[in-house]
Amino acid sequence: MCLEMSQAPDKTSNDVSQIRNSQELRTNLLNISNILNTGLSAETLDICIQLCEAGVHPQALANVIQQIRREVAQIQQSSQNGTNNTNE
Amino acid sequence: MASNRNNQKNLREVYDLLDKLVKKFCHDRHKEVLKKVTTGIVDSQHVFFSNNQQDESLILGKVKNHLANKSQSSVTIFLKQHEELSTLTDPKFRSSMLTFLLCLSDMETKLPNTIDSRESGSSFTLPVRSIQNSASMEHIYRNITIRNASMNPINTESNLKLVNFRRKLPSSTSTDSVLDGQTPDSETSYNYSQSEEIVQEAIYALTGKSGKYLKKDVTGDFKLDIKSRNLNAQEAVSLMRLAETGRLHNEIHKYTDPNSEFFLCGLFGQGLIAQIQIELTQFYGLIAHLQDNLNNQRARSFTENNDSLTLLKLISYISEPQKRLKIISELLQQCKNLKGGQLATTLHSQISTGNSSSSGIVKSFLRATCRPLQTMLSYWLLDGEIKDPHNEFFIEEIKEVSSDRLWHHKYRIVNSRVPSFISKHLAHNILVSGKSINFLREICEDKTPIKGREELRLAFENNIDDLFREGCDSKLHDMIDSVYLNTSQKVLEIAMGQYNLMEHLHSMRKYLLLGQGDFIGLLMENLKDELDRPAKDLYQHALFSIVSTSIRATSQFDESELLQHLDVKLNHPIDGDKGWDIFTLQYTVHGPLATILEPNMAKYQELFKPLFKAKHVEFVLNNVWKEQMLNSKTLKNLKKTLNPVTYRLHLYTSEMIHFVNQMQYYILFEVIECSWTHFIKRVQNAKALDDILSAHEDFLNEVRIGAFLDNETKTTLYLHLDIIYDSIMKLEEWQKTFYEIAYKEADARQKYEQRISNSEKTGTYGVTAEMRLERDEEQKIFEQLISTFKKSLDTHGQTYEKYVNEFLLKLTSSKDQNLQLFGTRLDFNEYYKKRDQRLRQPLTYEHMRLSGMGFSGIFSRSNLSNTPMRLGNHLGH
Amino acid sequence: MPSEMITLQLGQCGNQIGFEFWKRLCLEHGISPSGVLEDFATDGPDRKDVFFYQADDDHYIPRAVLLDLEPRVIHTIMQSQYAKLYNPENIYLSKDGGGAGNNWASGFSQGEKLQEEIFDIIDREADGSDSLEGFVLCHSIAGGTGSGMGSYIMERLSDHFPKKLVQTYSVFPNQDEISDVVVQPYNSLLTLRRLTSCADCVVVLDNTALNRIATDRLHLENPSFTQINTLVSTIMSVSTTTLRYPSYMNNNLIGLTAPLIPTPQLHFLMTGYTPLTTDTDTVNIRKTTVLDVMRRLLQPKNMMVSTGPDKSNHHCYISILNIIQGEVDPTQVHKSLQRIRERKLAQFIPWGPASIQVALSRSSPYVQSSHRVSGLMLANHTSICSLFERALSQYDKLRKRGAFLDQFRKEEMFKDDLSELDESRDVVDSLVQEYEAATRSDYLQWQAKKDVE
Repeated sequence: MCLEMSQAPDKTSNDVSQIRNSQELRTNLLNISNILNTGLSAETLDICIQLCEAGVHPQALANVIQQIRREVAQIQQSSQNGTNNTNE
Repeated sequence: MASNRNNQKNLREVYDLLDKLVKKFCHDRHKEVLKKVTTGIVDSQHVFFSNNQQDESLILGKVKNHLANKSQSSVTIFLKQHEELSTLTDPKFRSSMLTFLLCLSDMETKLPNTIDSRESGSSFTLPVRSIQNSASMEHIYRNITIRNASMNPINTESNLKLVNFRRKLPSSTSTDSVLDGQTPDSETSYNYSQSEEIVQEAIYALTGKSGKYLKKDVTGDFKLDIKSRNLNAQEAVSLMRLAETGRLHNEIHKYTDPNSEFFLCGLFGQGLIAQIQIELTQFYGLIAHLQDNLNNQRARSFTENNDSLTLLKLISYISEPQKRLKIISELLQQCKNLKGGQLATTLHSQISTGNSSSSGIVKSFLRATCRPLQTMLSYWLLDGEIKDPHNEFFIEEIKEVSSDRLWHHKYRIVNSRVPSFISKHLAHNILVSGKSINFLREICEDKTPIKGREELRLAFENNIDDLFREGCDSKLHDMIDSVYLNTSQKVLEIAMGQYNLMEHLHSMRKYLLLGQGDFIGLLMENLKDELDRPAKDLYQHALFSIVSTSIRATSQFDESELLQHLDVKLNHPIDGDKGWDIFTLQYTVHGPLATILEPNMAKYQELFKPLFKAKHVEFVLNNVWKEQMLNSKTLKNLKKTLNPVTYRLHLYTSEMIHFVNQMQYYILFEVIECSWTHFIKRVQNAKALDDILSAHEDFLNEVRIGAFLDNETKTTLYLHLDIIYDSIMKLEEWQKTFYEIAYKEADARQKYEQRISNSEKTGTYGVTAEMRLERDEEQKIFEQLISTFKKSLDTHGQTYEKYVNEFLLKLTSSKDQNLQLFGTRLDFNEYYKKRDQRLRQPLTYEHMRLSGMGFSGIFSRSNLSNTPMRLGNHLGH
Repeated sequence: MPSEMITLQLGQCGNQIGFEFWKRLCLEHGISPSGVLEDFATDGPDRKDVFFYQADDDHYIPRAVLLDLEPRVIHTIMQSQYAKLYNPENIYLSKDGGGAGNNWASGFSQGEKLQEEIFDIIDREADGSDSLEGFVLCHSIAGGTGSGMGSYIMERLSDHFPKKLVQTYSVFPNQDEISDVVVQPYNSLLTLRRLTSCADCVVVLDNTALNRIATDRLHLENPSFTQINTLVSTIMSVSTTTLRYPSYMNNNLIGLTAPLIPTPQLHFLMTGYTPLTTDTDTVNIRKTTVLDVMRRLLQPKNMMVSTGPDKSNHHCYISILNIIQGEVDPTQVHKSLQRIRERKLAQFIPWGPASIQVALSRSSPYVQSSHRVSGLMLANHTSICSLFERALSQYDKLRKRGAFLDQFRKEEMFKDDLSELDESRDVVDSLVQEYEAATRSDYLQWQAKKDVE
């Protein structure tokens, strides 16, 4: 368990403890994610957490996710169209 | 730039992660998608890697408001999750994640083309969310700008880009509504009516920001600016009233600001800050709602609106929250510069002072503040660990203390840090529980966790509120009690079982407190020749071998074991000391017991000396008696001459024997034996090691008092007793010379008789007149000598009796009833009472005074006459 | 081993009570009749070595010397199951086996004749101990061997072992029955002289009192020797219990007797015991407290000495030691003492400090006692002199008539004159005088006056 809250300037120790508690943390964040109905799967969320930790701005990351979703939706749409128009 | 280099390093990692991410969404054409995504990112790299974060409380507020629109229960669940999250991460990461998740909230089904309509459609029903988001996003970007500007003043290009990005963003993302905010200082960009402007100003002021009319002065109070001249009186007053809320907000906020002198330090402080932020978040939620109303109002500004937001409405909206902020602010004022237990104590003390609504707030604050305490307690109680980076926990480990003194000295309660709701008793039990775990682990090398550790941990964490309750019968108290009992029991079992605590205490009683009379008797006998010598001529090892011999002779079965513990210690001799004065027995215990018994060992040493002295006096006196008994048979021929002296001698001796015996009986039986009996009873009922240790300590203290070693009696009775003992010891010297002379005379007489009988046999008359004369002369001298001996004996006897009288007087005039009773028992047949006027007097002031005088009298007398028994030089009184 | 005691058993009576004493000690220390330490007794907290020595790891032999001039009692012992207990070399029977004919003078002179053989045994036994503290002599003062030979040995002991204490358990004859020993008054007086001047401590075992107790208190119609001797062995074993189960005080003979005996002559101790029952007695006394025990011990009916009524009520205690055994709350002891003092239940000498000493003693774990608490009192009481007065008056009656003196004149000692008898009378009379004087506050002056005379 990590008691060190924002105070501790020692970043490495924070990282270490985060890793130690990552399982707990993941579950927790996944819960919040579900409450907020983000539609993220556990694996996706994992990657997002890592991205966040890597310093990616959350807002931008959210944009990325939405962009991906849009792209994927487009692709799916087009592929659906594609299946409909088998001749293409 | 450090951050840029960092970003470069991370880029590869981020790319890989993005790659993975995209794969999660689509397998077949993910390369394509990835390319698109990364292109977008490269365009806005600085934003993408922005280190900026939003205030967590703001985000929290937004999330809560967002959820509140769905269901209250989801808010509760969320808060619980967040609470848990708080223990796992730092706020920075937390706010990032929350921001991220919030942005994605309820988005999964939305397609880009439907978003706008949905957002606008729902803006009425969900005004708070959109407004809030917009406000917060605005806030973020403003922060970015400012920070970047201040941190990287050279990198103007990036600032420019950022601004561009900000302008661009609304159209390029799906969360466009989130980003259309206003800045308070962008007054020129908009052109609202003055009333709206004032309301806007007021809303800003609510969160403590200066504006056009309201300016903060140096103290942080709001003042109306000159510009407010064009406001009417009511507006001005209303503004000031609203500004008061802003001031309160700032007051409260400063406790959470690390740069402020009010910042609450330590983990307890962090706990409190978290709660403050929750409160602020709620407050921000309201502000956001107001802002939303204002925005709507502005959007419809061209239409007629009766429902416009006015300062008066603001005041009515804000009145309840303001009260709440006021309570909080006042509460926090008490907490300035406090940390740890004091912080908790202060909060706790406020529960009962306020009304019910304020006590609810206080309770929630207290709970939050004590969350670290709960964790600390569970570490300590369950693992014996102290996790206390800020020195807040009321149990302190003294690092410098080595583990061999662990039990008594390594851990202690820091009273100033004990929260008021933790009783002394509870604190003590808590201390002992963790200490026991450490003791078991470090000293006994027993590392098995305590029984039912996990259940205890869970139960413990779920019942923390009980800590603040009045009384000590709650579940939590039971828990702590049971942890205490579990660990104590274990320590007790180990100490009593494996390490034979009681056997050692028995041995110490037997050997250091002279409970084993036959051993001490034999030891005296064996040590006599050595200890009669000057102290400086003694050798510890020689004495030790005598001790071992005596042990072997008296102990039935535990001698080798015993000799590992028993040792001889010689105190530092002072000039003129005999061996008797510096000899002490020492008992050493090892391992865990050494830790446990360490502080009391000195008491045994202290007690040994007077006990040994008393025993020595008894030993000497018994031998004096024995000499008399035996010599009375062998010196039959001198009976006539000696009788007047020996009778005195017998009677004085018996008087002394009576005294010494009663003293011995008193200390060894009435004091030690009775206290021991009491002690054993307590041992049998002991639930924890400390029960035994405190019983043991009480036992030793009782014995100390009984042996006149406490402060009160040490300077009176103890010293006095010593004088009596010394006086008794002098009888031995006297008797030695006396019998030497007697035997010399007996020899001379025998020789003389023999000569006569020899000469009778040979028929010559062998004794000349000269010889007869000489013999007569010798006999005369002898008789004279005997009569001086008689005198000196009488003097000694009288002096002795006086000492005893004084001693009795002191006992009977003692405040301690036990000593009074002992005094009467010491004079069981009232022999002394009949002979000493003062002992017959009732206890009066006069009596006390006399006894005091008598005492000083004794002192001067004994100083004057170190040799009251020496021939010739006698004392008249 | 420290503070050893060698027991000398003389004559019929001495050997009988000695026999009972050893039986009792064996029982208490878990030693079988053949001297083997019982398995259950291997780690007891007791000190066996005061009265026994170890022949090998688990074989214990009494430090006892058995002496008699006629074989009857010693033969009985040697035919009992305890035959193997004693060191056979320590058993001395005179060769002619004719006894002393209940004649002190005969016993005395036979003692003189046999002294070398006897002291060989005693010396050997004394050499076998590390630091011998003294001798315990068991005998009767009325017969021939115990009194006569006992007297001789007492005289020699103080010459031979000038540094050793001599304690005796001396059985005084039963005054209630007419003795078949007609010279008993002579025997008693002559022995009393030695007890006065040669012994350091005499525990008086008064057959008169013991028989009365057996009949009156224990309701035995015709108390046998064995039953009387059981009482005696109880007294002997309890009075040595602080030596055998040492605790904080009174762990050797000096420590035991020095507080009781103020001057060399006033060394005759009487005993009291409570509760008085025998094996057959099933009546159990109700819950006993320390105070009960101490109070009962102060009652004359529990005393084992028949001092007769003290008409002038002037006799007093010189000293008291109560040895209390059993389940006792130590904290009650001083409260009890306080009560006794307040109620003035005991009268003490006026010329010196005196009090009741209490020793709480452990008792043997191997002997089941039917009583929760029991107590023995060892007391130095001036009324003991009534016993000596009685002895004197009986002697005077006989002497006035000049009766039965022929038997004495036969012996060397009385051949020329009977001054020995007169001197003995003087000594005993002076003893009586001293005890009488000790009841008065001018005891010290009396002594001085007497000396001036």
